[in-house]
Amino acid sequence: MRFLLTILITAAFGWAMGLWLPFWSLSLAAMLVGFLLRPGGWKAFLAGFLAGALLWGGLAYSADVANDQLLSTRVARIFGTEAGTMLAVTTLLGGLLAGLAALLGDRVRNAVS
Amino acid sequence: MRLLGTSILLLILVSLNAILGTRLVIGDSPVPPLGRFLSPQEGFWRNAEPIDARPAPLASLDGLASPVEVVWDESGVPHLFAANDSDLYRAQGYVVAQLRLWQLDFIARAAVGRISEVIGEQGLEFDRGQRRKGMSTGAEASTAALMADPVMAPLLNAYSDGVNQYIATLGYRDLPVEYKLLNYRPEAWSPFRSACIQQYMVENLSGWDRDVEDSHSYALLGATMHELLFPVRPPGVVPTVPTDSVWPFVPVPVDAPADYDPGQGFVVDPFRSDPTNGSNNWAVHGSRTATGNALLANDTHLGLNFPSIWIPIQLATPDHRVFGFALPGACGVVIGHNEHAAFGVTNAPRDTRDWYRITWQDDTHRAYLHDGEWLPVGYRVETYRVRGGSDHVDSIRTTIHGPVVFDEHFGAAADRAQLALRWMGHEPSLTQKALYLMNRVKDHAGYVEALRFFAAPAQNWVFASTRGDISMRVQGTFPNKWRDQGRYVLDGADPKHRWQGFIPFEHNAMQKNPERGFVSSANQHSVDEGYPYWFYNAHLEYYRNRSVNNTLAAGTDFTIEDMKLMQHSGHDIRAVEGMAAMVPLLDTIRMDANELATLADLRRWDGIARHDREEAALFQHWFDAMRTAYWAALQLNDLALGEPTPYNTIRILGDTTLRNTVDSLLQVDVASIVQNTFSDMVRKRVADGPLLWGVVNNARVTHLARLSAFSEEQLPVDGCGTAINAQRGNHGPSQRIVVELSTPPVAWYQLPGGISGNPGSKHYADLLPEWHSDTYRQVHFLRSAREGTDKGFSITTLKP
Repeated sequence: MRFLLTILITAAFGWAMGLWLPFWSLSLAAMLVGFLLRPGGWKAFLAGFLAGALLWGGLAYSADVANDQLLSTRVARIFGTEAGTMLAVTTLLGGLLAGLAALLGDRVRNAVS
Repeated sequence: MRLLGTSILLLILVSLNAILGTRLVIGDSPVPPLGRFLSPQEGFWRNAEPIDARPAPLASLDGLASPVEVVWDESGVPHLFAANDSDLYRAQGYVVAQLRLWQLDFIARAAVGRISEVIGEQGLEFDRGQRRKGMSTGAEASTAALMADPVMAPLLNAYSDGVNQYIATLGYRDLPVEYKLLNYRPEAWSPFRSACIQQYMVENLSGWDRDVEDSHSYALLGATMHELLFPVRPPGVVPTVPTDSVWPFVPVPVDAPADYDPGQGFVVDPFRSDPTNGSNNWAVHGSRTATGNALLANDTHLGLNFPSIWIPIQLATPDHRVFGFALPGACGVVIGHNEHAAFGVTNAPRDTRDWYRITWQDDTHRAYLHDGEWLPVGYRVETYRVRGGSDHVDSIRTTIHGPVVFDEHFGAAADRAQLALRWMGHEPSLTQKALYLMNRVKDHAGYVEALRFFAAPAQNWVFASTRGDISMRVQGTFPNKWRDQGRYVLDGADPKHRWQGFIPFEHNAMQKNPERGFVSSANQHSVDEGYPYWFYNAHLEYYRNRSVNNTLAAGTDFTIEDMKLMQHSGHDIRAVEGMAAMVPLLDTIRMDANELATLADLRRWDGIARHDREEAALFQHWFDAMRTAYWAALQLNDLALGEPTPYNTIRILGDTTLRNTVDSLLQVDVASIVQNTFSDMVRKRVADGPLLWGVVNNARVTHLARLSAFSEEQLPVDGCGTAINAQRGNHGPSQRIVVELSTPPVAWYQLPGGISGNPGSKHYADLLPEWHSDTYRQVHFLRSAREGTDKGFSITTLKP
C-alpha cells in the first residue's frame, strides 16, 4: 500500500513540477519523495522508476493516441525507428530519471539520519 | 563507503540530466537535447495536436482597436474579419505565426545569409553567397521605401507586432517542433524581415543568368555560331503579349557603345536559382465561356516544400474582402480574388542581372577603373556567427555597379574572377504596397494603378473582373538596354556599359480584352520583335505556353471544370516534337527485336507523361542521353559553357542544314548519337525492367530543412517540367486556383501540403492527396464571421 502510494505521490509531484519547470524537475521531484518517504533501497528505485515511467509513458501515450500517431511516426523516422519505439524510449527515460533520483533521495536521507 | 556510493549516484544523476539537456553533435548530425525533446511535458509530444482539437475561442492581441474574428474552415483555412486595416494585418501576423512561425523565421534567415547561425559550418558557403550577391541591400532598400510610405508603414508595423506578440507567448514547450529539433529560438519579427521574405522571392525568380557561359561561347564560337546555338528568339515563338500593331509610344533612347565586343569571358562558377521556377496563368473572356463570366486560372511552379510556400487565407474589413494565397511573413495575399476581380502571377523572365568585369589599379584591389579614372572601392563587412564554431568575417568590395561577388576570396578559379553584380534585386520594390492595392482592386484601372508599385521580381500579372474585363501585364522595373547589353559579361570600365535608365511604367507590355478572347502566360518571351526596347533572357519557356494557347484557342464554352483539367494536363509538346525530330534519324535496319518493339511503343504514344506508364520515362532517358552526348563537345577543358535548350536542340535536329552545320562545327555525327543513345535506352529497359515515369520523375514534397522524415515521396503525379502540370521531382505547381468571375466570384483551389506547418497537425499534409488528383476544394468566400459559424466552423476572437 505504502509502495503504491509512493509511486502515486512521486508521479503527481513530478507532473506538478513539470508544469512549470524543465524535464529535470522529474528527478528533483522523485528525489524529494525518496528523501521524505524513505521507501528504502531497491524499493525506492523501483517506486521512482515506475512513477517516472507511468508519468512520461502515460502522458506521451495519451498525446500519441489523440494525435493518431501523426507526429510520433514522423519524428521516429528522423531517428530511423518507429512510433512505438519513441513511446518506449520516452517511458524508459522517464523511469530512469525518476528511479535514480528516488534512490539518491533515499540514500541521502539514510546518510543524514 | 556508503557515502562514496551516494556521491557517485549524485554525480551520475546530475550528469545524466545535464547531458540530456544539451544539444550534441554526433558525427555531422546534430542531436537535440534528448531529455527536453522527449519529455511529454515540454518536448516534441507537446506538438502532437489532438485530431479533434478545437481552436481556442479567445486569444488576446494588444494594440487592436476592435476585436478580430478568425473563422477556421474545415481545411483549417483562417478567415479574418477586422474593423480596419491595421487590426486586420496585426491579426494576419498573429495567425500566420501561429500556423507557420518556424517557416517564416527560417526563410527570412535564409534570405540574408544567416543559416549557419542555426545549422553551423555547413551553412556557411550558402550564407556567404547570399550576402555577397547583396540580398540584404535589396531588403534594406525596400524596407526604407515602404517605411517612408504613410499608408504602408503603420500596417507593416502592425503585422510585425502581431507576429511578435505570438512569439512572446511561447515558452520552450510551445515552440514549433523544428526549433526543438534544431534547438534554437525564434527571432523577433520586423518590417525588414517581411522585406526579406519578398527578397527571397526576388532571388528565386530573377536570380539566374548565363552571362559568363555566353561570354565564353561567344569568344569560342563567334557571333554566328553562338546565335545558332543560343538564339535570342528562335523561330516559332508566340510571346505573352503578342502585337499585331505598332507600339503606341516613342521609346526612351539608349546610348550604345560604338565598338562593342563581348570579348573574353571568365572562368567562374556562378550560382543561380533554379531556372525552371515558372508558372502558368490565363484568363478567358466571357465570350468563350459557358456562363458568360470570365474565368481565371493560376498555378505557380516552385520548389515543393513542407510547409507549403503559400498559405490560403481570407482577409476582410468593412471596405474589402479578399481570399487568396499569402506568403507567410508578408501581409495581404499575392494570388486570389475579391468581390470584384481575380488576379495572379507567373514569372516574367527578363535579364535584370548583369556582371561587370572589374579592372583593378593594382594587386591591393583598392581602386578600379571607370571612365578613365581610378575609383576607390567601398567595403561591406559581414560577420557570420557560425553555430558551434568561430565567427567568420568577410569584407565585400562594392563598386558603382554593385558588390564584387567573385574575387580572390570567393568563387572558383578565384584569381581570374573579378566580377561585380548589378541586379534589380538591389533596388527597392514597393511590392507590399502593390499587393495592398491589388487586394482592394475594383476594376482594370485599379489593377494598373496597383502595379505601378511593383518593381521586382518581374511578373506576368493576369487579371479578370466581374465586369468582364481580362488583362495581362508584364510588370516589373526593367533596365532600358541597348541591343545585347548584359547578355554577356560587361566592361566595368566603360560608362556606356552601365544601366542608363529604366523603361517607363507606361511602356511595359500589356494586353486588355484581346480579340482572341483569352490572355495567357507561361514564362515565354514577353514581347515580339516589334517591341521597341531590347528584350532578352537566357532561359525562356517554349512548351507549356503553347499547350495553354492551343487548348484555349481550340475551344469555346469553357467551364471551371475545363480549367481544372487543363491545370492537370500532362501533355508534353517537347516529347512530341522531340520524337518527330529524332525518330527519322534512326536506322531501323540496324535494330534488333527489342529496339523495334520499343520504337513501336513510343510511336503509339500520345505524348502524355503518365506516372504509371513507361513512355515518358523512355523518351526522357533517350532525350537526356542524346543531349548530353551531342553537346559534350561544348564542354571544353574547365571553361564553363551553357548547353543549348531542348527547344533549340530539337530545332537543329529537325533541320538538315542546321544539323550539318553543327555536325561539322563540333565534329560529331548526331545521327549516330541519336541511334546509340536509343540503343542504350532499350538495353537499360531490357536489363532493369519497366521504367515507370512516376519512379523516374519521383514527384515529392520535401521539408524546408531537408528533414526527409517530414517529407512525402513518390507521389502519383502525371506531367513533367514541360507539361502544364509542370511536375518534376520536388518542383512543380505550388498552388492551383481557378476562379469564375460571377457576382460574387467563386473559386476552387489546391495546395501540395496543408495549412499548418506543424508535422503533428492533421492539417500538415491533408490537402496533398487532392493536389495530385483533380479534386479541388471550393473557397469559402465568407461575407461575415456569422456565415462561418452558421456553417459550423470554429471561431477564435482576438481581443485587445
